[in-house]
Amino acid sequence: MSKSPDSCKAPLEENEFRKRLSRLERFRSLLDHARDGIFLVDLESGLIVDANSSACHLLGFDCPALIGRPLEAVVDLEQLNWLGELEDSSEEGTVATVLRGAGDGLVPVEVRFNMDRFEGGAYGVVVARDISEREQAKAALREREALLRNFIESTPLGIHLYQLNEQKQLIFSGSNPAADAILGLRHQSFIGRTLQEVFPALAETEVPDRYREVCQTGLPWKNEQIFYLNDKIQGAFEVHAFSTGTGCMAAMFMDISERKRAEEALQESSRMKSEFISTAAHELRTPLTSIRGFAQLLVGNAELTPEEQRESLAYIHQKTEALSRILDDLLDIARVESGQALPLKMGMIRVDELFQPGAAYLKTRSAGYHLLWSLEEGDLLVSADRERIGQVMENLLSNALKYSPPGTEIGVSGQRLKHEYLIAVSDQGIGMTSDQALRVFDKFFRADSSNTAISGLGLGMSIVRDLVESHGGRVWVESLPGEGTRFFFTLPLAGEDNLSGGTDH
Amino acid sequence: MKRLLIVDDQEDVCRLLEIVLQGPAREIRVSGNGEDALRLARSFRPDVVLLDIMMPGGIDGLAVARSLKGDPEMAGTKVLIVTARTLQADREAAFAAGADDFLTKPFDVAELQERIENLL
Repeated sequence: MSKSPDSCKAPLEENEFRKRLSRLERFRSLLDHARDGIFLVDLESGLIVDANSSACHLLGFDCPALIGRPLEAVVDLEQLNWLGELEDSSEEGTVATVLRGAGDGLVPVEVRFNMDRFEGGAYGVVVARDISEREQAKAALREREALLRNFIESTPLGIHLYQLNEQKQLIFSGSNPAADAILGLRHQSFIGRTLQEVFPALAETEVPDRYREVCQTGLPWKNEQIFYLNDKIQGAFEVHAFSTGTGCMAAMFMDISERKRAEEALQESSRMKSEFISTAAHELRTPLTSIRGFAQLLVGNAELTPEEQRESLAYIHQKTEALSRILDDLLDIARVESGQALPLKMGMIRVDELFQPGAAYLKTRSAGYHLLWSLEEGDLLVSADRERIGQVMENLLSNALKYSPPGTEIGVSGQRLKHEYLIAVSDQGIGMTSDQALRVFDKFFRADSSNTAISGLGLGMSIVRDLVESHGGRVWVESLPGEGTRFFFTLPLAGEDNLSGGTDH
Repeated sequence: MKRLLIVDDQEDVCRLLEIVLQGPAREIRVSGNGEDALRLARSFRPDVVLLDIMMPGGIDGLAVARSLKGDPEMAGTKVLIVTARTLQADREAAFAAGADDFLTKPFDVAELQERIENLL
């Protein structure tokens, strides 16, 4: 564009003029079709002296409105402080900034500047490239990344990341905070170590091979990993492994220990119930054998001596009683199962009177055992259902006899304990482990279900607990395997100043 | 003279079996546990042993049956299992232990007598 001052003076031939004009027009067209906005700025005045149509379009001005505006009206010059530095150099530089267009609309741009001198003046050529799309894409990407990061950081699902190294080993490469929280581990130190080093418990399972497949094939894999400690579920996880790129995978897991424990408890309870049913059938068959057999002998034409007849009747009577007791137990349990309280006929009764039937029960069944029976302060009054406490004592005593060999000691002792009366029934029998002792009051529990010769439905202790607790008392057990068992229960004293004692406290 | 050995930990059942099976040409012995029963069987040499399965002590009825059936000197002794365990698996276990017959409690007196006659 630079011309020598002399050429202006000589009149151009018309042809030459048209040629130059057309060249200028072509040049103008080139500029106007450039996608970048181009401004020419008079550096002395700071005014925009020319601009291409992309520049006008970028800023939303009509071209004539843009010409003559100061550059600083459309761009923050302070941000472009390099303008000054570059003023006298011919160096170029680019900077990302925003242009202020018509109506104060802001346009993100990348600006390149260089300077030129012609017609004795210094001019800046500002080339502005619209980067709003790129910025939008970048912002969208940042947003997506933030969303993903937020999801990974705040999901309750644990996440482990693995990469296959050249030796096809799975290398732990990251985790999220939920993984720390679920497993109670600081995973940070695991990064760079192999799966087998980090989780030795997984080394012997199919997990490493499956994870490798996920890394190699990109196909997801789902499974449940359950870890046991002493036959109890220590941890259970549902794991979804999926590819996160070539040779990489994520294992997303949730803690399902509670659910698995509940499922196992349910299975155990259902197993105990079916075992109970077969035990119940067996328990009913046993007394029925005698009842049916002796009755057939009596009804039929068997030649029985009068002594044998009496004997048969006695057995029928005895076994009918046993059968009724089993049925009573079953009905009690059915009541408790359906949420009904066991019916009690409460009355004021002296302690020694209350336990008199227990003493009688023990006397008739304990031949061969050493008996210790001592009730202190037998004249104390308790409020109790005499028959039900008799049932409690029968269950405790028959249990003591059932689980201990003849020749050992069966002891019953009673004493006052503040506002309660405490009864202890002790034996020197096979005893129980602490685990068995914890479960002894559970329904259908039998200390040794493998020893099927020890009869019983496993309901006795459960009924004992229900009965004692509905009296407002407490029941517990102390036991050592091979040494014996001591059952304790209390009944609230119903005397003078503590009529309401026990049940309300 | 036929010899019968009754083995059951329930005293009433032993007594019932004894009364049902007693007769002029029979000698009956009773035992309340497996260990005792094995000892008695080897001296008494019964023709039939009536065996309960579930008994206290380490030796249950099935173990007694196995021991008797594994002893060539007891080859002539028949074993009738009389038990309150009624599952098919119990029946199979009894025959696997060498039992000659299997009867569940509560049994019919006439049927018991018939089974014994058959074994004798």
